Amino acid sequence: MALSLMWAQASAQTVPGPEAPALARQVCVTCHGPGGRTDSGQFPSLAGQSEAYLLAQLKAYRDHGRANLNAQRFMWGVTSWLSETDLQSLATYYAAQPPAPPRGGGRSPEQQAAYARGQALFLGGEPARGVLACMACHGAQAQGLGSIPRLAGQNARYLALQLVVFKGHDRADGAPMAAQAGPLTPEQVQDLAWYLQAL
Amino acid sequence: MPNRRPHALIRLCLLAWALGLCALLATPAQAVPAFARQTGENCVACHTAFPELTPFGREFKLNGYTWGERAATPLALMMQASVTQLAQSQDAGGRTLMPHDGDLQLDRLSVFAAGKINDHVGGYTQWAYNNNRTKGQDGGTVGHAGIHDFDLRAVQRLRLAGKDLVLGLNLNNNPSLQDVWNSTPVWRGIPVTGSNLPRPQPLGGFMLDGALGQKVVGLGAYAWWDRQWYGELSTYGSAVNTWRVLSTGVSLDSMNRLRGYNNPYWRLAWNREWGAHSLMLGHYGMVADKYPEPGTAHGGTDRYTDLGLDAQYQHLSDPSIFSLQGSLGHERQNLRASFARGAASHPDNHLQALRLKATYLYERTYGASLAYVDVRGSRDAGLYGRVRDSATGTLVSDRPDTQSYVAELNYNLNPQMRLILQYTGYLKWNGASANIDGRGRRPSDNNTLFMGWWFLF
Repeated sequence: MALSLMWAQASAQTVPGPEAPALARQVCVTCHGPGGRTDSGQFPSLAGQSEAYLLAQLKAYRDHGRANLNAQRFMWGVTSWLSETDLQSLATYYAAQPPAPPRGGGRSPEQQAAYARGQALFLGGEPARGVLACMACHGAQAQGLGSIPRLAGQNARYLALQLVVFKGHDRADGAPMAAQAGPLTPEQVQDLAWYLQAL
Repeated sequence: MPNRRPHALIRLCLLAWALGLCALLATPAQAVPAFARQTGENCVACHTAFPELTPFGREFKLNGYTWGERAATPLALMMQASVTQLAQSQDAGGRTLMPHDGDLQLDRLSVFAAGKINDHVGGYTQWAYNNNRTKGQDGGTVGHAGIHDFDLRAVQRLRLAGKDLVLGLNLNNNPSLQDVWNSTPVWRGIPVTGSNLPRPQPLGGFMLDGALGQKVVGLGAYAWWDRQWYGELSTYGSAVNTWRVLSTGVSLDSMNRLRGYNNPYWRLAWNREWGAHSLMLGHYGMVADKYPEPGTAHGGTDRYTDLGLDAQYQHLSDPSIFSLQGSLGHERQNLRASFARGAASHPDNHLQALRLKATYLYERTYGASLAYVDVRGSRDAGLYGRVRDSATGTLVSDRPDTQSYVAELNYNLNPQMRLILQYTGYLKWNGASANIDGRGRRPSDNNTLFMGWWFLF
């Protein structure tokens, strides 16, 4: 009986339900994890990300505005066969998912020091070198706003990688960030990434 | 006639041609194989070290190769060239054991037709010309053309108990060709590609290790639920009559024939992906009734029961990718027909094999792998012959036991091209650790050094 009920449910739902776009469940999940939460340092968590930002980035991949190597390898192709409706549906879905929890508990003294340096940089910037406080745009909790992305809880490796991408001017919309990321030393990039993933 | 070697100038020209082609093709990937053209993806989205699949690649295959837009010309080409050196190319009697030892060879040309047919149906087929299939009368080799792979799928995507379910039907010409993990017989890649020059080969091959490839047709159904559980049941028979296209190029006189079309193959796998990690634990098996004499399809049959446990772990990150595959296989051989004909000394035999492989890939460019294979089985002079010491007459071996390793370095100039340096070593050969032919030959005399070029475009 239970089997037949399950089968009836399966047969009835040949069109994916409204709780998640089929694309997210069947395709995006392989890299971005279930519900858009992943521990991979190669691919970002998408859960809880700003809808406007997600949509803008999906379009940037499709139009090749984001041109770093991994964007070309993984996202140019998959976005090339998505419609405007698909892009909007994915952005709405991932924005509505609960964000990934903070990472990086149980820090060593060195990691605590890096966290503190990253926190200071995020909250206050480094005016002497022309680096603005990150919180000015990304919010006090790095929660993002509109087309400014959420950074809190993102994997440190991915964050560090993106700061390097900005330095390389491989994102069409990245001019403001290129200016900010340019003066950052490799150590400051790591400090910021460590702090942000723990938020 | 002794082994023919091209003039040194010709070899130099061939080498220059190969390197020139490398340079010509080592441009940013615009001309990419059929699936990449269909999806718009870079090859590395689906593959780690080709043909090993990423989680994305596995999903693409299980979904019937239907993602993306149908290509106008769903074709791709593959070309392989190599140089192979056998440690001791002549036996004690001065007989040459491998033609073209140390010669540059254009090994194989393949054409692929691959892609989606509609949103529910897709597949691929590979047709190949193998330049070095068998030894020729003149001491060289004889080429051969025919089908290699055929994998056609029809899929339906459903929801079951709130989770995604992919149901598929599959038609193929080699058991486990349909599998998506790289620990099953067709795709375990020990090695992925190696020398195809005819040369001494160890005995003791499993039914699933190539004996049925391009000789059978299999129709099966599979289910892939929650990206976690995979189950499949297929049934196989000889690719003759209606299905003859799936064995094109294989002579009916030499074809291993199965009884009927009810020889089952099955597969169960548990899969989990988290972060950069991917793990699979699985089981596969087949029961096949095979006529003992190739080319014949009447009289009694031998029954082969292959059972395997396999596992795969992948860590996919940037710049490093690391993967491990392992399988433990057991084959029970009920050789009732061969025994009755005197071709086997025992009616019941068995084989078992342990295979382990580790692969590392840096920046999707620099690869290294190390594999170990240990095959053991019951003694049978009828099947494996009885090797005796030529001087004393004492028995050396009548077993199939072979231990070998394969070490490989490769350089992927771009996703379509690979340079390979590979060494295959033997610690034991057909049950003997020394004197494997009764005349002093050592297992390591069959070691091979292989340098290959692989182009795919």
